[in-house]
Amino acid sequence: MKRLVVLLIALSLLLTGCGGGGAKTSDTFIYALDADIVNLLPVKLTNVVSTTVSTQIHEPLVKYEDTYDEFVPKLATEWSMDPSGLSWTFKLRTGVTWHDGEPFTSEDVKYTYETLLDPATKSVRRANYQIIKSIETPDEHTVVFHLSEPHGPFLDKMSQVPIMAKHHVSKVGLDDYNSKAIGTGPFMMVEWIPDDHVTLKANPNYWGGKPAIENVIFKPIPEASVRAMALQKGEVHFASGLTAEDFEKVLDKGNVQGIVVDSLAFAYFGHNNRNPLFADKRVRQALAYAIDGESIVNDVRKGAAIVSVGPISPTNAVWFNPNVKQYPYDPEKAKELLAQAGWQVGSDGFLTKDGKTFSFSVILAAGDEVMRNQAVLIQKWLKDVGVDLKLEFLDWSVMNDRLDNREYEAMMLSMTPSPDPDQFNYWHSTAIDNGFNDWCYSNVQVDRLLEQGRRETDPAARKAIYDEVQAILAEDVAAVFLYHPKVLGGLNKNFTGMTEGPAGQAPLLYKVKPVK
Amino acid sequence: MPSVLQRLFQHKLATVGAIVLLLLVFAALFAPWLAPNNPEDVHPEASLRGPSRQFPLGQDPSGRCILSRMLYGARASLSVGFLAGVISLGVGIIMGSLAGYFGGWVDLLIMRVAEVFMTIPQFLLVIAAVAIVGPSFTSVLVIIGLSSWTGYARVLRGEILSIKQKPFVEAARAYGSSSWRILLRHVLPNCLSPLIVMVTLNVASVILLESSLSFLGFGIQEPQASWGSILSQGRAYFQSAPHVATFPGIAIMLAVLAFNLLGDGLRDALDPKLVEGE
Repeated sequence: MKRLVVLLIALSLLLTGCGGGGAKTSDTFIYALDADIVNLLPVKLTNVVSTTVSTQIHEPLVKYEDTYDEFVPKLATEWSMDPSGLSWTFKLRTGVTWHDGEPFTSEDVKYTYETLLDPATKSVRRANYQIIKSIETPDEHTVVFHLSEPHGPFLDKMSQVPIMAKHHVSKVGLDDYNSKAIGTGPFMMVEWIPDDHVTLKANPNYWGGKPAIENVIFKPIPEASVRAMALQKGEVHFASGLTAEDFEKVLDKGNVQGIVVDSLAFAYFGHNNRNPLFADKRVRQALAYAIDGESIVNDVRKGAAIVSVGPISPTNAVWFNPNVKQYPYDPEKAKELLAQAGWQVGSDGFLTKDGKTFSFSVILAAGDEVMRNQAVLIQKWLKDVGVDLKLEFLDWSVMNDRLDNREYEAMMLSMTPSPDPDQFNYWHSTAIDNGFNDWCYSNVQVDRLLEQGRRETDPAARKAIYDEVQAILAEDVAAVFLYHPKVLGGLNKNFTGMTEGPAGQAPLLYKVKPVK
Repeated sequence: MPSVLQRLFQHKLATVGAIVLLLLVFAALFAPWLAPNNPEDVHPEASLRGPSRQFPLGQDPSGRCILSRMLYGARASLSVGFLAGVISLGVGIIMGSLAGYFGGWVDLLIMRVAEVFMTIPQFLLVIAAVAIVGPSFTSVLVIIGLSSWTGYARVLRGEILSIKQKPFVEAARAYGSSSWRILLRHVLPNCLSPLIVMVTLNVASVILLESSLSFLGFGIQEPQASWGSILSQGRAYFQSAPHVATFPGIAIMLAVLAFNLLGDGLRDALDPKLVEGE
């Protein structure tokens, strides 16, 4: 998945939420999306908005639901890995039917993954699944995946692909699927009016029982402040991705209950590790000491974030390693480290070395006030230790080009990893050219650990490996990790039971109930 | 015969405009002494706080002193206004006098170029150019300057066309003066008064243009401020912290109004018909 996806994921995490029908009857739930859906086809899901809607209609084999460390059986009821780690067997749920009444079988699972892996599908997610060598269907309710090598995060991968109906998709085709979507999930597609709304209705034959709400209407509302207002007025029953100011105001009205989700995303100040300016570890550590992450969390994010020490959030408790080098705000220490690295204070107050001033620019997306405010603070903090930072606010399309071509000295963004600690695509050196390693970070030891962690299937052994990865990333200051944002949302008090799935997963609307 | 200045100050609104401008120039020149705080000092814990004794106009999202930033921002806004005004006046005078005095293909070429410039909305032209060159104080200045010469050139060309037919020009020519001498000594000085009026009005529009650019993030870059950039930052907090956008907005309005009043006054004061009438 490309960067845009990551952005959209971050955005939609901010925005996911649902609303209950204030004006409408209480069995209709109106959910504000931050954008219109793009593609609901399970093998082409690339952004959170589409995922939010698609996963109400389609279901994967297994899923994270309320926690990050446990897979809940969905279309698969049992699964096992053979001792070599090279094949996985899934027993499928029996008695499940598609929305058109056809039975769900192992052929559908095989078809979904084969379509995903078919180059002709042009799925950006294909690369993640190439470890699948072949798929067998010994009977209607058993699927066996054969892998080219053992793969620790395999179940995590399985949780990200909802299954689609072979008989239906092979007939209607992969294009123009949205309004024809058919799945096994709790809600069925009614209509999609582009840029206006998507309507779903409850699936009476859902294997998990018919959902309590009859209709779900998704409305795209891109502006955060407009979403907040719609929530306040009861025009939507759930909205998310609110600003801290709006969030407080909305809660004051009393008809909305706040829903705060700790996201797994991590926001960072990312220097380009290929740039010789940052080759010295002491310089990178100095940057980390010079930036006051705690102040950004408290003053810019108004407390709606957790201070970060690495790319895995403390919320992801199973995999988070707290015992890594930390960099509390300490400008004196930063100056000391910079001096050790040979940087002298010049006549203009900025550091110089070999006749060159310590000056670089950071690129960031224009229009995001939170980003801008934190950039202004970072600029000043770096100036305090003698580093001249320039801010380059870019339009998203330009920003994406620059990121793709790795044309920057530093960038400020956030990434949303999946709960599994396999961050190969972020930190492995091959991901610089072929992945999301925007930091251009390259460390042989980390490369080796990441390769090892992927092949390892024993959770305890994987934990040790990823603990070490986190420790090295922190010691090395692969990036200056700032915070893990909290997503602020609100639910109309006429409804209850709204939970957002863990980060990157879609909300579980089948659990929502009208009050009374 | 009363001097131009005397006549200008009989014009009450123009006087007010001139005084406001003098105050603004004074504020810009003496910003380091007038500013109560360092304009770059952040106080993140006091983000968006309203006016207080230490921060008379309140604090911006990073807790910086808005008054201090506006005083320093006056330097950016006014100097872009003046300098870009001077650049465009210079280019406009050169182009306009070449076209008007020499005529022929020179005239044709210059005026067609000017028309091409005028067909493109100036704001778009400037944004495109800034996007290519990269935003900075100098690039904004030069680009605005180079894109607003067409008005001067057209007015000047028209003036020269009429003046060069006058008997005193013919006399100079008969006397054997060179073209350049005639242009510089006899023709140009007689066309200046409409240009002076234009400059004051143009400076006002340049200030607005710079504010709009900064508002869109293409102008003066952080940590420097201009009135437009402060205004732009305040827009996001207009409901929760209106002071951030209000004060720079008032400053822009005052400056532009002052230049316009002064321009109006100058036009009357310099009007040759009125002078002859007295």
